[in-house]
Amino acid sequence: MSGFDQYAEIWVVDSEYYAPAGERQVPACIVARELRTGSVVRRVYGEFASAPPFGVDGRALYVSFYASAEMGTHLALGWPLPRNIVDLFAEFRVATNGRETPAGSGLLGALAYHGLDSISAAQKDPGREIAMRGPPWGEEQRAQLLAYCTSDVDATARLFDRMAPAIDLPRALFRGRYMAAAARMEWNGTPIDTATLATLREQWEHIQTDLIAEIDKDYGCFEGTTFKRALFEQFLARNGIAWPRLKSGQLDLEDDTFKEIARSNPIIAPLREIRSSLSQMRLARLSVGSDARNRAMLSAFGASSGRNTPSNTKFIFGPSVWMRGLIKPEPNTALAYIDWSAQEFGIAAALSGDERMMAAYRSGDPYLEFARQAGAVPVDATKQSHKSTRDMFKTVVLGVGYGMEAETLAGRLGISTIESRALLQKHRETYPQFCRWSQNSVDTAMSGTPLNTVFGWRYTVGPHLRRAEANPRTVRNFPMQANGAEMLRIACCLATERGVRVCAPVHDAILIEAPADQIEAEVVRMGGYMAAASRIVLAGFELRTDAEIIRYPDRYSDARGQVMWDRVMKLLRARAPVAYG
Amino acid sequence: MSNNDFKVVATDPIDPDEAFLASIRLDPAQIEAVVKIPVTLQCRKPGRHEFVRVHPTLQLTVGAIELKDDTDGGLCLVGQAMVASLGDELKMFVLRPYINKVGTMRLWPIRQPDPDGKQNEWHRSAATAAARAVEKWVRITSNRDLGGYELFEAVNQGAEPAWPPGLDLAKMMKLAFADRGRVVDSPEHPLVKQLYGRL
Repeated sequence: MSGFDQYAEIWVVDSEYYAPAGERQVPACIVARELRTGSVVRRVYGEFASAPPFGVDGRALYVSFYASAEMGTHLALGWPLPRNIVDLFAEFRVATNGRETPAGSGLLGALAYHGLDSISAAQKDPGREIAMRGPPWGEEQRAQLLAYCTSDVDATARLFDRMAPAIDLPRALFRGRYMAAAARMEWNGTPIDTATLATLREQWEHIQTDLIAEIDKDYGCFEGTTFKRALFEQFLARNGIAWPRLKSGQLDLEDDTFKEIARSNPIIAPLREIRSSLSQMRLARLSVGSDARNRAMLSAFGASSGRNTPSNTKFIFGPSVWMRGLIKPEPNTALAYIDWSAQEFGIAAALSGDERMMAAYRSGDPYLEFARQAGAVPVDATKQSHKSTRDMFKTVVLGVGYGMEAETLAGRLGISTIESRALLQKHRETYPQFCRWSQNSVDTAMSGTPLNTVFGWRYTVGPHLRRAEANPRTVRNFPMQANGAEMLRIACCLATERGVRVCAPVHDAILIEAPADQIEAEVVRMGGYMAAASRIVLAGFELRTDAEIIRYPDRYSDARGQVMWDRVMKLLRARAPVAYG
Repeated sequence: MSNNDFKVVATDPIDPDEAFLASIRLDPAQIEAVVKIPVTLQCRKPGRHEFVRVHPTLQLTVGAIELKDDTDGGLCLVGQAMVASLGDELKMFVLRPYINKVGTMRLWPIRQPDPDGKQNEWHRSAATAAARAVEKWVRITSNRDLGGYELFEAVNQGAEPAWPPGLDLAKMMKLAFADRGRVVDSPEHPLVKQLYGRL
């Protein structure tokens, strides 16, 4: 085991807890086994002390499977978080990312993948069921919880023994460190305007009928509450909108397609919002605790890119952007949404070493600078004077990241394929170093060599590739998304460890919270950590950040969902004049 | 949303933690996943829509027969042993490697003046354009009224051409002519037989 002998103690830990939707967890028990001595410590509900019964300082290594759960237990008990964490879930994901894991990526799946025995489902379910019944737990139940938890510790220890030789310890410790940051963010959660949420939930059935009636008068695509493909086709024809089709010739009605088209064609946005809202029952499933905070498991390392994959329905930053209007700071506090400017462009520029692309990023407006470098706008062009050209070049840059071809680009921009080919050609001519680097990434992955981020998150296209991901376009964007995820993880670690109250990470952005009179200082602090994270990932190349501050009683809003939010609020005022009159 | 939007100003390195994290960063240097193996090369003038640059040093003067009805520029190299027997059919060309903006390389055959020094305007304007293309991205179009090529220089010159490393004119000649059966090196070559009415 390379590097593990530096630790005086290696503790394998598992915990059980009760955590209803949106609430902080209530610990039920925690069990730890020290691998060298074999000693086992158990603590159960009613017997927890003020400090953990095992080492958490620099001399000890803490091993668990999906460590943010155990970190939640530490936070609930007021215990310090371990200094050194190896999370076998994260390491299993690294080792198998892109490959088929027949029994999934949970503990049982990882054990099965390595040919190890595990507790049977029959044993596991009652144990979990007891924990999820919630406190108080009686004597017999506590014994069952401890037995169940101990069996998971034993299984995790066997898994560690099998996986340890291949674990890249320095990077594994960084991933473990992020699991602690994730736990802190889940613990904080995001403040929600629960009064508005409650009224919305109460009135939703009526409101959705009103919404369809109001929105659909501009589209004519619904019959009752059902979206009709044929009517949508007629709408597209009436408005001359080109729409992607499936191989069968049918219109592609995937939400992602609506999302893409809505970016360049705002008329589609309200239709996408209403379809999304109706299909997902998002209001009902949003996880909000009794303290009016949205909490959802961040599901760190869930995506191929290593990004978090929290539930779209439980997490307030799921795709229904209009619902983000429910985010509202508590009295005397403020929120700040801080994001990296043109993060993927900056990452692509720095990691590919394309000097012109780096110069474009440094210019402050990479899309306008690209247009300038390509000779499409004069040297003195501004975002205002050449908005449409800038937007066009922005679409090209974003499209190229996913390997967009001329036909799709033409449809997206509403131009001919001759023009779209010329734009793609401009991109290749302007950034030849990036294009070679990007193509080499695709060639590397598709020839079976793993693609790695600068912190060792890995994606392997292998013989057991998950079919949906065998796509060169996914691979092409991997370096940007996956290194962006590393950047986010670093920023979250630096911030949460230094006391910034992070509510939620959102891919290329972070939502923080602070007392109203301290928010500017906290934004500067957070911006500093995000700048540092970019320097670390990009070997000194620094990405800029922008921040928006939301002070009580204002609420968060996202431009993409503003129209929908205003509509819903108007309907809500009409339906519930007492609360919203 | 409030009007409190502002740019965050970058700060100095925060503390030793940044140095530690930077120390466990892996080198992202890529290993070339593929090696491009050239398997063919065209010998023809640039297309009317493409901007090209001509290699500043590599060029080769050759004797060749030009086939007017050939879509590939129609040059067949003439081996030394056949020079004397082909008489006026043999023309002299300078072959100049050039590259377009997507990185495709070709050889540009530029007809040389006749032994008596005469050169028509098509050939002279092509030579002028090729010389200009050493320094600038240009494209050419034929203009029958003018009786020669028109030369257009790109306003946006963009990046310098990325010439493949280790360019080798001999290899290029092999790809463009020898590998394609375009070297006239014996009286039995079908082209010679055709010229002498033996085919």
